[in-house]
Amino acid sequence: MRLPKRCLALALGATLLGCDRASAPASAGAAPFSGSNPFASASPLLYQAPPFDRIHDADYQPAVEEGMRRQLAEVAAIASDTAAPGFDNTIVALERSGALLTRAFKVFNAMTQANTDDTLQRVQTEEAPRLAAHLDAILLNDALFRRVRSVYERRADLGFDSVQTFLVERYYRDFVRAGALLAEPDKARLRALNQEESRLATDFQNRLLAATKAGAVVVGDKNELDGLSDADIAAAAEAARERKLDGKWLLSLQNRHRRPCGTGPCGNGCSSRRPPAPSAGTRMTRGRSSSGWRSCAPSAPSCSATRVSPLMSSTTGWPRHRTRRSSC
Amino acid sequence: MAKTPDAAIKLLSDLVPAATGRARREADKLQAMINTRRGGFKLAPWDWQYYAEQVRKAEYALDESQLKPYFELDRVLRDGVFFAANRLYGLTFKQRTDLPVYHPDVRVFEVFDADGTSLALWYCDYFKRDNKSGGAWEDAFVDGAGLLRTKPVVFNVANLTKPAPGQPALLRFDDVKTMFHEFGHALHAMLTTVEYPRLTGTNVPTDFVEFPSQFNEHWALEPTVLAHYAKHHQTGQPMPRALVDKIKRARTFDQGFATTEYVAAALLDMAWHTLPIGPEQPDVDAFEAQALKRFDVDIPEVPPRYRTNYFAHIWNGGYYAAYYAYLWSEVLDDDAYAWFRENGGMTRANGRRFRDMILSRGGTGDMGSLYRAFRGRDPEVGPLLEERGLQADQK
Repeated sequence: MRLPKRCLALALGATLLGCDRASAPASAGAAPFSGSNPFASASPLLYQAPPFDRIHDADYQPAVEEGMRRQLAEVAAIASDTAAPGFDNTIVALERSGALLTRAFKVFNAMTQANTDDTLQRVQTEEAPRLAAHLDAILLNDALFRRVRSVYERRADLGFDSVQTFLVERYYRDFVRAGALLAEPDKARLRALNQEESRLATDFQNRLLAATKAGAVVVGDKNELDGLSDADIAAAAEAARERKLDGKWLLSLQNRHRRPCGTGPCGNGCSSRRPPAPSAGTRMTRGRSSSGWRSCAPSAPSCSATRVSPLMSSTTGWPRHRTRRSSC
Repeated sequence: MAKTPDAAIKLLSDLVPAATGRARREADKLQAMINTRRGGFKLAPWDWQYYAEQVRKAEYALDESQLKPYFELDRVLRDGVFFAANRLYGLTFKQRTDLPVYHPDVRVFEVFDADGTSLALWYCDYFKRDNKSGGAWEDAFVDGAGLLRTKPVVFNVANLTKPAPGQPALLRFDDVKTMFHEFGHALHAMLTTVEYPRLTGTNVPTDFVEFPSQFNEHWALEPTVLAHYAKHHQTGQPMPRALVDKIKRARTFDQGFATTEYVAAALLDMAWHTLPIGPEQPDVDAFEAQALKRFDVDIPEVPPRYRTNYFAHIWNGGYYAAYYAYLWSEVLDDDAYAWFRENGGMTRANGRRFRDMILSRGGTGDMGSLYRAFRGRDPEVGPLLEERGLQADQK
């Protein structure tokens, strides 16, 4: 599975146009970027392994912001190069750009998924629109696109090997799919449509999450749970406790959360209390189950966001396939 | 890789007769079970899960609690996941306790090639935590790319139940497959020899990215691998033959339902995304009903896995017009596994071929050509039908 779960992650593999991108005051509490930031230079550990013993929550935001500034400067230099566009000064230069941003963001993104906290979540929320704007600034940079296009159009004559040719074609397509070939009025319209889609997507996600939550079944009589395993009943009790419904049981909606055994209450009439369950983002996926290949609900983005912008996995090293799972 | 909507739709449509035919027969079985148990009502979508489980218990007598003592996490990792990677690709693994981690549950391994060359770092963070997203995934702290002179620093994350202190972590077979699956992604990332970041490792099209991961799942049930890792955590005894057979037999259970609900959702995704541009907005429910009917997947007892009004994938999050990708990748992984079976199975030579022609290549070319070079022909859907037990329904 590869869907990023959170807004920020989406913003990176994608261009996020719906969030408030205009307001971007540096967040309070984040230290300014300095040479002592653990992301300031490549980690000295084996294979640049993240120096987790030196990384603190406060380090991510300044590194990401400085990383964006530096990449924009690098991109500006590429776009305004007076030398004729070529593979090295355009494509390879883009491939090399954004080192600091990549270094910091990849670790940050990993932590927001696997080991998050309030601070990281706040930074996510704050940085998502800025990162989205950052991607736009690269993808919709006309001077930059003219250079990419020039290399692309001459690719058969420049002595490229097959991988280089493929890379150039990939870059060109990334830009085109992001709207680079459109005339300015159409670009404006595209931006507006993306904004609208992003707003609608946010709205959809929020409604879906709310409906999913509201669709959970609260059970007050344990007898109604006949047929569930002890582990399932304990989990339902815990889920109820989390909603401050101590002493009750909560059966949350999960699409096709098909467990091998004891999948639900099953007395007469019970089935009508288990509606076909939507579940967006309630369960990131796993491998195929032994009882069937799609026993798990796919994850869906919990934040709106986004048209995918494949270019960004190259210019920043941000993976488009941020998470990988099998299944659905 | 599919390149055109038509190609994706064709793959899905071709499976419809087998999937729905099988699903209808499964429905008959469930109805029979209902009639036996209680009678008096017609099978509905919300009954499926429960009665399928009853049928499964009756027909396969497979109880997860019988299996778990044979799937102890460390053993699965070292004698299963690592063992398979050693057999196929010659890799060895050495734990590194000197590198810092972000949580005490995280472990780090250095990965070595057959000739002793150090290749990559691999982190695993397997246990569930409150501050961790659900599910399991793979990603990298550092992508390997020749241009940047970087080696892959890759991680797998999962949500396995953490045992009480001093107790072994005993897994469900599902969890075992998850470990193989995510490690398949990790292999894709770690064995890359690609120069450019944009094309390295797992930076491949959506309908290809699950190929290496799903492919790696196959080795969980490979007899030599299973025999190596599936040992009782207390006695060390290998899993009894009868249990192994039960796992294998139960694999194709309920595949009519699973395939149908997936294919229906994937076709619905394509239907929405091939709607002509125009001012008219169709009524959602009517459009959905019409699309399912058009593709002949309108079985009342088996609704699409996601109906339109809760189909989050097909918004702009990454699987729009790409929900078919899971199945597309599955065609590849089953077909590639069939190649192994046809060519002597789990040998180093075969592993080397797969590594050289697929795993090391990242997204450096047209994926169809890449696959064709490996397989000697285009992918075929036969092995997938066989894996799902649908081959008899296809004709």
